Amino acid sequence: MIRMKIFAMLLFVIAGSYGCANDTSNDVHKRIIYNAHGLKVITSFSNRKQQTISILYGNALALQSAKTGIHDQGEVFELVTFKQADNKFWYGSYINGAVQSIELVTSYAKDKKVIDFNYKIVQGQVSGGADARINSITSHRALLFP
Amino acid sequence: MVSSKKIKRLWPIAGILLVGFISMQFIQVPVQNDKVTHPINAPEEVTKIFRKACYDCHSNETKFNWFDKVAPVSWQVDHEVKKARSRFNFSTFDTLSATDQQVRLWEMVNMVLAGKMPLNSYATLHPEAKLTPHDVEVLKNYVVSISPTKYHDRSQIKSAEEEQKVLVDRSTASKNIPVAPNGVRFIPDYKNWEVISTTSRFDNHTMRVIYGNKVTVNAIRSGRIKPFPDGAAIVKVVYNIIEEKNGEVYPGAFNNIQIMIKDEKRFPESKGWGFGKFNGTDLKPYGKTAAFNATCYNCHKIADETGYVFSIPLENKDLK
Repeated sequence: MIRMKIFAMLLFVIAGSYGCANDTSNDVHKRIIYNAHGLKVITSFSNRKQQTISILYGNALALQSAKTGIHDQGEVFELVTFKQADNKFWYGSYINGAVQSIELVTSYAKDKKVIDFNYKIVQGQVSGGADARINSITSHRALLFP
Repeated sequence: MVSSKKIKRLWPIAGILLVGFISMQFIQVPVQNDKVTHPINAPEEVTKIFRKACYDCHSNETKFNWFDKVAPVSWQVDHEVKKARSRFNFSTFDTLSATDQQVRLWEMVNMVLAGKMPLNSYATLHPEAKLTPHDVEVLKNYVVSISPTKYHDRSQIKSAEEEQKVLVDRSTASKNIPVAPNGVRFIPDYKNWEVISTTSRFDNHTMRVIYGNKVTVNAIRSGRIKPFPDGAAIVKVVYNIIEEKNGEVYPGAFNNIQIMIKDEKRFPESKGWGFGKFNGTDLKPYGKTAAFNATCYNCHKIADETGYVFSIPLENKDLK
């Protein structure tokens, strides 16, 4: 009986460690595609000195304001800044690497005539005050997507 | 001991083989070295490397060894040299436009870095053709030197501003859908797909927002990219860039859209990938004939580790 128990425990440990080993190897080879939850790309830009690549996403209202320059309530901007990485297969190209920060800007009607914004750092650290970040994020013009 | 009877019986066979071998030598006229009309114009330090590693196949100055001239080896050599010269030829390189030369040179460097060139079969018989780390550095520095950054390029900014003025979401859904010469159609719906990556390039001073359809996204997330399943589609939206001295890089004018679709039956010669490139805001299909597909595929061979796709997200282990 004791032998059976020891055998079962041993089996459990071996199975567990095998599972963990597999999980680890899956994790290191896994590739993450950033989930923008249906938001569309407004623009993308990078900074070679800071070694970052960013994508600015937005909802339909944010995308519209990035085309017209006129803001409305209900806009959602999400700026995702990635660390810049070398593109393994092409010397001459950088690609987005790990997510460094995520900033969220939403617009609301302060009163009938004034639109104001909320700012939140969802992930990571960002330099610059909220007002400066809001101005920067909401001032990008939309890319042309034919 | 082999009996003399057996030897006598082997003589006719040996004779037939000898006649066959001699006849083989006349089957194919060996590849010729044509004139060197427009040689590559590059610093001597660079051409010296090309001469030792590439010229035997990619120029009209092929130096044949005696065994290269003997069939059936000569048939394989002829085939490789013809194929290599058709890709690019250092003896006529200066007939290409400056942009085409630049594109080819970056491709060469990346082929070398990926270990695809010089071909292993060639380098084994010609060890002197192997590149040293110093050679590779010289080539890398050279391609960077021929692709200088123009900071705050007014022409780019102006083009981008003009695009903004007429910026309306011109959905091509109601128009005729452009089709590349190999039958790959432009896909207007890509805007509703997920972004798989974004790249910023210092070789040709462009940036890309790269979209994948559901099949592509699922394949990447589940690690099933070798090969990518049929139905996978990738769209790269390419913009020129505006570079500032402080390191900031912004998108300028729209440049082109590049498409890859996976269909094993339609594109068996390029591992199932059909390529399309649509230039300018009027999305003019690139390429005169379907043969351009081979040019795209030849370059994408570098990324065979990732199913022939260059810009998919990095593996977790490479994220820093």
